Amino acid sequence: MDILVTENLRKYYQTGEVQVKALDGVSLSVRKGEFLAIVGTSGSGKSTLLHMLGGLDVPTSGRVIVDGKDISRMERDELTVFRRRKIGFVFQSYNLLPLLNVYENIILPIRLDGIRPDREYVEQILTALGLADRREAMPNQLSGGQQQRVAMARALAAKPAIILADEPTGNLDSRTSQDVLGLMKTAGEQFGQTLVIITHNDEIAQMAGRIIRIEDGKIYGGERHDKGTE
Amino acid sequence: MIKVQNKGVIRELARATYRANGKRNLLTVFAIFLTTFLVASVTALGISYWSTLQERNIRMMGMDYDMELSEPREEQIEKLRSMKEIEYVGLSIRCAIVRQYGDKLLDKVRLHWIDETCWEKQKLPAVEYYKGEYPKAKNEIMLSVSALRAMGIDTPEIGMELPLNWYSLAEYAEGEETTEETEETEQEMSVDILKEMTALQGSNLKSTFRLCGWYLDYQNSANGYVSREFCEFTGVKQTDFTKGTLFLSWKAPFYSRQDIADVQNQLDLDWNQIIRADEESIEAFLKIVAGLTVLFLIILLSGYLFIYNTMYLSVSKDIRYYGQLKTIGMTSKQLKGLVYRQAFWSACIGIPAGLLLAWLVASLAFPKILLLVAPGLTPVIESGNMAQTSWWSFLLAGMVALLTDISSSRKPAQIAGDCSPVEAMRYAGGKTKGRSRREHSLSLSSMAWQNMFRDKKQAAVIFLSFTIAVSMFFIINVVILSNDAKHILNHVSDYDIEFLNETVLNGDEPIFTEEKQEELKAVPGVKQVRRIIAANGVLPYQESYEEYYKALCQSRYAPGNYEEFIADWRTADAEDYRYEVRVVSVDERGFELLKKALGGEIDQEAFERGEIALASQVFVAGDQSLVGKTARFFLSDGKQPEQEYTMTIAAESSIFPGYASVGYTELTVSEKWLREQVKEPFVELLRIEYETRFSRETEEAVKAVFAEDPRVSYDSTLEQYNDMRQSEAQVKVLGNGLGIILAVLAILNYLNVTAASVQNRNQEFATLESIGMTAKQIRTMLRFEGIGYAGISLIASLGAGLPLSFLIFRYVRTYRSLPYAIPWPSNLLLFAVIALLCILAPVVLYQKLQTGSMIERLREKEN
Ligand SMILES: Nc1ncnc2c1ncn2[C@@H]1O[C@H](COP(=O)(O)OP(=O)(O)O)[C@@H](O)[C@H]1O
Ligand SMILES: [Mg+2]
Repeated sequence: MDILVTENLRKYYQTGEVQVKALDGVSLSVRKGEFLAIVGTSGSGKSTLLHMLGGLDVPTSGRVIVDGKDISRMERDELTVFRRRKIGFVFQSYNLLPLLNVYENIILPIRLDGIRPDREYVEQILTALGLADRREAMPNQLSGGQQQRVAMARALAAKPAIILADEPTGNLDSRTSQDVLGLMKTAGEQFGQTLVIITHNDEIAQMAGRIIRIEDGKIYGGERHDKGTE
Repeated sequence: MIKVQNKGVIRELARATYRANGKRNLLTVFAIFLTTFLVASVTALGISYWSTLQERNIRMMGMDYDMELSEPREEQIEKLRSMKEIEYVGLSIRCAIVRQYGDKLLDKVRLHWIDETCWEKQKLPAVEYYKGEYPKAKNEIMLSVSALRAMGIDTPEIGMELPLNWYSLAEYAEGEETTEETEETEQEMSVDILKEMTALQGSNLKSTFRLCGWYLDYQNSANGYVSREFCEFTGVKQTDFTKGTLFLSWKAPFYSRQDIADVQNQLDLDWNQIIRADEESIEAFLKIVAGLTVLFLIILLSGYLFIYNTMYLSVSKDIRYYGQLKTIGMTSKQLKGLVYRQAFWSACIGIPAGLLLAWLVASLAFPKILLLVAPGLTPVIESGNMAQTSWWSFLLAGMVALLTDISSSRKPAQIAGDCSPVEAMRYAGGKTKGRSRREHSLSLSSMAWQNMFRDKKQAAVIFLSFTIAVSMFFIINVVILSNDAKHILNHVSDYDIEFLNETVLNGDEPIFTEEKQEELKAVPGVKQVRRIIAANGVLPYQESYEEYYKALCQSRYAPGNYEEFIADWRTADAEDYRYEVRVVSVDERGFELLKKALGGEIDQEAFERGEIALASQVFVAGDQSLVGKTARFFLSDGKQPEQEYTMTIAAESSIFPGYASVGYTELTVSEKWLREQVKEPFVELLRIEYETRFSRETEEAVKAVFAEDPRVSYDSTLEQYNDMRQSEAQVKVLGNGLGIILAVLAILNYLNVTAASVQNRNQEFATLESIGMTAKQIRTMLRFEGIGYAGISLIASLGAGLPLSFLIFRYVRTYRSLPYAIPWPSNLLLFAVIALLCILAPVVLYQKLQTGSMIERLREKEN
């Protein structure tokens, strides 16, 4: 069953006279529980695609279907609620809330749904990500790598069906990167989560079940090779 | 050399920055403009407000003076004129009383002669307006509008002829004349006048006067002015008891107790001469100065907060830019200069514009508004009598605004100068150095609470400006309340109209018959008709009244030798008028009101059985010597003039429900009792209450009942109300103007802060939404923030404003016993407006600023 489907997705940016085709006819489907890595050069359209999958941006044309629902047709708040229940997003620029401490940042999406967080699980994640002793720290007291790990913990904490991560290891050394990705993968397997990550790191890409390459807004390769998740 | 170049660079950079920040600088200019406008208009309005209030106080007194001296002698006048502390010395002589116009009886229209100084420097400042000129010829007369109204003249004309019956107040006319005086006048006067003189001594005289002018004052008493020649003709001297008064205007705005004593010591006063002066003059002056200063400081503080706020917001937004400038080598001093320079340029535009608008408002809009709300003031405004705004208040306002501008840009300049380049890059508005803290509950309300205090300074600005505005509103409200005509009249008079039988003590003709009373009761809208029945009686000698007469003998009004008096009294026969008592009665409603006014417990049943009576001392400041004692009296008007009645005096006060007249001892008894004792009950006064107070229709219908009878005069609360309403309107317009201005300032401050905060947090809102906070939840959170701001501000204002307004009310109220009241409807309206604004503004701004896709919003901060 395909949990993520895009049909002929296009995103064009008009800056003055110049038109940038950030995505140019992307058709992609991701199966439930799959671990997908997106690679490509800088400016090729990876982040744009991930934003589209997460319903954070509106395509110029084409459709995005998540878990059988066409998200481009959803109302704003409907989409927000859908996203907070289904998708964990790890931003390239972390997007932590400056007024909340580490722990609060992590559990906020759960609390917004009116649910008590699974404290034990959150503790597990904090420990695994090496944040256990920083849980009361404020975001601006953390290094870039620490902030990135908090962003990842936030995406994992609600045990969403889909995790979308934009260069989640960009600020981590390769050893930590592997540990963190290992954790994500284990969690993914444990809860049957679908993982889509953008990465520049070849070793990490190799951990994925499938790798797709994007160049100039188009997909190249991406044949499924049944290694990893299945 | 290098330094000079540097300066040039800074100037260039400042210019470029200033231009680049066009929109934001516009806001700063606007803040300065608004503050200047406020300071200037508040100064102008404040000055105008206070002078209006002062003017009104003077008008209430009827004369603008500081001290008065009774029965002045010529050499005393000379001495006072030579004193350098005294600016004006004005003489007034009360010389005659008009009793009748045509065939219409009047309630004592007093005629005075006043000298030129008194007229120009002391009387004119106290009149609302006047037409015509001060009387010069003997037959010329100037009358107050109330006097004209009492005569039934609604449209007076200069030169109109007034046939008046009058009598002189000369002492010999009352039977105590000295022969020398008559001879002296005899020599001076023609034979023709001599004939009149004979009539004059027999009291009533008929002459035709020429109306040469009229004036409106607030005393609401019927009086008038006559020429010096006429005054001499009446024979009244300035040294005659209670007739002559010297009014002294002090040069300084206040005088001390020592000054009063100095004047007193230099004058060699006669035993019955008195100086009346305000012993608390200095205190009163200081209170006014303190009040004005506080008001001014409050406005400055509001303006300071406003400018500070815009500058601070502007600098915070530019902090990254300043950080960059620092990384490329700009010094703190140079950065500060950059901020100051921009503040100065904003001031150059904002201050003149603000002054211009304030001037326009003060000189054009303000009189128009006044005309609109108080058409009665038209003559004052057209005559240019209205308090003028002076140029120096604008100059002052301009300087103050500039100072405020510079001092309020100090802190922002410091922030710009002190920022470290790295911190500037991370600057998140307010809390830069987060400290670790424990977990909060992540409910929307607790997140809102954290957001409110995320920038403590801005939270303080909001709370302070709201608290100031609302507290000022409370204070303005009580000042208005203390000038509220209805509030005052409801308190000082317990009737709507009072009819007086003018034949009282002068024939006692039965005018207020049962039929007339029934007629009045039948008028639609009349709630209650109270009557005062009066009878004459005599007090035989009795020990219980000795103290009372002793006090009376020592008073100015019935001076005499107490021992002689008592000796006479012991041997007096029952007809002797000197020992007369005026016995008046009150009905049930009258008793109820009297009891309330006296505030004591009086046994109503005993009162109705005629066992107790109430004593009054209108002319003697009482020592309560009569309370508990008995009064014995005969009723000469009674069925049995020989019968002696004995009553216990239950209370003694200055309240006398009947018509008060010098020389009578007064007793109040119950109507039920008095009616049984007299042959023909004589009703001297009728007091009428309407269903709705101040009802015009009822008033007209009620007045019509006695319109044809010249022997009836009336005293109408509605007419007093109409007179007072004009000054009330003035106070209202000025006060509310001030209140609105401050409220607008607070509201703008709030909008300014909110707009900046919502804009600053735009990216944060996007982040919140991206991790699952719905727009609805965000709006709820913003609403919580608004409720928090409104709630805290309003609670703070209640805490500060209510007690303050109570204190101020006690200072400004015109009647000592006027009760304090909170005008809840207007206050609740203000609260509602503030609450609504606080709650709606952030949400509306959020909706407005939320444009573009989430990704666009998430990235917004970076540019
Ligand atoms: N808001 C935007 N306006 C204009 N062009 C944009 C915008 N966002 C992205 N682009 C352009 O679209 C292309 C793809 O960007 P992005 O998806 O961020 O690349 P990647 O994540 O692969 O480095 C780039 O050429 C980028 O310049
Ligand atoms: Mg990218």
